Amino acid sequence: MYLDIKQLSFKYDQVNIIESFSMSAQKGSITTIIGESGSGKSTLLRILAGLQTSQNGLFILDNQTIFDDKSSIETHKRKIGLVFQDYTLFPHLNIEQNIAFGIHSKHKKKERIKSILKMVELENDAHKYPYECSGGMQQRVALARAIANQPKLLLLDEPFSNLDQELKNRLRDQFIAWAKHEEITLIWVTHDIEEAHTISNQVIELKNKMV
Amino acid sequence: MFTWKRLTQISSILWILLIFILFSETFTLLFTPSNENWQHSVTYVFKDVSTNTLIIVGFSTLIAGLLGLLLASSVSLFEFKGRKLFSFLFYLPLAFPPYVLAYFWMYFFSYTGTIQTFLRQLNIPYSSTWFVIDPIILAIFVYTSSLFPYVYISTKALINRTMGNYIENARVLGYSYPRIISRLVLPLSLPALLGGGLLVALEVLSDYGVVSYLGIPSFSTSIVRSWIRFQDFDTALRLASLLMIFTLILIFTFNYLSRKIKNLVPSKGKPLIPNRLSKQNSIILITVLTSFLFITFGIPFLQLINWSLKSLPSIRIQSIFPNLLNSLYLSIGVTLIILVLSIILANHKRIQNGIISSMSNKLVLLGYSIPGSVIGILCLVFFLNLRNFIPISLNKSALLLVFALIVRYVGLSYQSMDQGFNKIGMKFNEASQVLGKSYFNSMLKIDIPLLKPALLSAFTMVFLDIIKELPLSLLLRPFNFNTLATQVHQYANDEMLVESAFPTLIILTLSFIMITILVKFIQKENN
Repeated sequence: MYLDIKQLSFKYDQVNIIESFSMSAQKGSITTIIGESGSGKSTLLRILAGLQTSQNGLFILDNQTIFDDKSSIETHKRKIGLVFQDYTLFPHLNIEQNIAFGIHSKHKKKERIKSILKMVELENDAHKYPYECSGGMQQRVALARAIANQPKLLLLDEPFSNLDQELKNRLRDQFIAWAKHEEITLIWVTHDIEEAHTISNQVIELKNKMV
Repeated sequence: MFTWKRLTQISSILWILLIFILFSETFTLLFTPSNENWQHSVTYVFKDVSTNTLIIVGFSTLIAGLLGLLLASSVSLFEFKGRKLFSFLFYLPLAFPPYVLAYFWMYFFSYTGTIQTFLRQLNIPYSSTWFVIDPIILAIFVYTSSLFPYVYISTKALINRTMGNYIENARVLGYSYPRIISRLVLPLSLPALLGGGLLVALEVLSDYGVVSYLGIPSFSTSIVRSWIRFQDFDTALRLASLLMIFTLILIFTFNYLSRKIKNLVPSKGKPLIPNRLSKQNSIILITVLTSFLFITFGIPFLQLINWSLKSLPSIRIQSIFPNLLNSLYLSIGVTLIILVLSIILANHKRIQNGIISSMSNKLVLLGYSIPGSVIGILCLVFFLNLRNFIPISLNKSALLLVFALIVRYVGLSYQSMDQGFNKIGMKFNEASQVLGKSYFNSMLKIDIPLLKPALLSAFTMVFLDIIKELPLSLLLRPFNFNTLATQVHQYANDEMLVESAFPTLIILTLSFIMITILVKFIQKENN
């Protein structure tokens, strides 16, 4: 399997947040994680991204052990992207600089930025700052920034929850097309069961801290 | 693995240990047998010293608070010609070292001073007793007129940011502006008033120049006198411990009150749109504000320019230049060290909310809340002890002075950094990490640029304080090392007020430049 997570557990202040979570996924697939508020969905994504550390578990991605009980690769070396619920665009950088921030290779960097901007239809707004953008535009920039460096895995934490239904559906479909084009594997957290079944190859429900 | 996170943790622990060792010396001394001088001080001096200190601190804080509130309300609530200019000008008195104002006002009311000379020239009969002003009242006036900007700045920011809807509601409900200020702005501004008021109280407590020049027995003058004049280090250290306890009680009281009112005041609200005043009311308000600025700032400033011009032929400019360089090296160098240290400490608090960060938080602030003279003694004791292990020459290098300035002012910068980090949180740093940048790179490329307002405000506040700093420089400077502030103090003590004007003007000009940069930057950020 391209992605394997085994027996992942996480405790905070002696309280179990996630217990023995396991899953697998193919390259380029979409996995949706659903569950009630407080079920540990966002924590799971933060652990996979390396922003929090689990007590137990094994995570293998593209034949590389990201973490096990003994070692863990640092966040910035994992090549795992994460799109936050509130976009988290860097306020002091314009759209182009925000997207460029995630691209580390200098080779054809400009061309890459240009093509990403074109893909997300923001070529004419490249020099705008986040505060000058609408919610929909900000969302597109956040997604573009996340896929710009072609992560091996992209984690999405309710990425469209702040948008109205019509815009949400349009952006979601666009984004899935971009991700497929870039062959990016997605783990998508949502509380919308209907959405989960529409977009994904597999749906995982977190209930009582377990799958 | 040795990471940036680990480095901040180790630095924080080392800093806590250092500060802890530094402060523990004084408290332990209180429980050891005392000498004769101390008994004498307790019987004959202590009552006067405590009463004077309490009166000066209490009234200065109260009046500065009231002035800060009224001025902040005036430029926030009303639209009138020159409002933006006044908003800026009220920052400027912060540049005035209080001791310079004390020298000036003493001269102003003296027999050879401006006012009595003027009356004599016009042949107006007067009695010189009219102009004999109680030193305590003069000290309160001096502190109030140079320190009210602390309250003004914090209160103005709070009113502008949060009170729009409340004030509009009150106006719709038929409240007049005086009632809006007393019933609404005053209670809702209490957190800012307490924050700014605490800074005023701490500055007054720590000041040495004013009380020393006006001959008022206070804690800081008694400490310096015991140490320098009577060479009685033990009594100086005991007085320092008592002042520290007094300061801690003050801080706890302010913090307790702040916690009490925290929930009564909303943290978010609608920005305030000022109400345009009628022509007549505009003229009245502009006249009042101009008169206030003229008395507190204009008269001393014009007199300084006059004196500077007069003194130019008689003073040796060559003697001022090295002192200017010393002041600049010291202010800029120490401020930069303090910024780096406060970033490390505040960042540690951001990433690790444990007992160490909470302790370092309190200990760092303790330095700023303790008067310069006390910090001076504590650092000297620490270095004397340290000399038993490492050979250090205390009278030849500025190391002791630099260390003491860092201990004293790191809290000021830390507060700014802590607020800055609280504002940006971890999310941008985390976003940068998941985009492939290391923690340290994320700090440099994301956190630091986002912290620019906090960095600039911390730099300005610390720079302003160090360039006019007196007690530590007087007590701990190496042999033959002078700053502009010590030179001004020396001239004033030698009754050479005219000669002291030029170096004072240089301090003021540097301070004005820093304040202008800060205000312009804040305005740009707000836009």
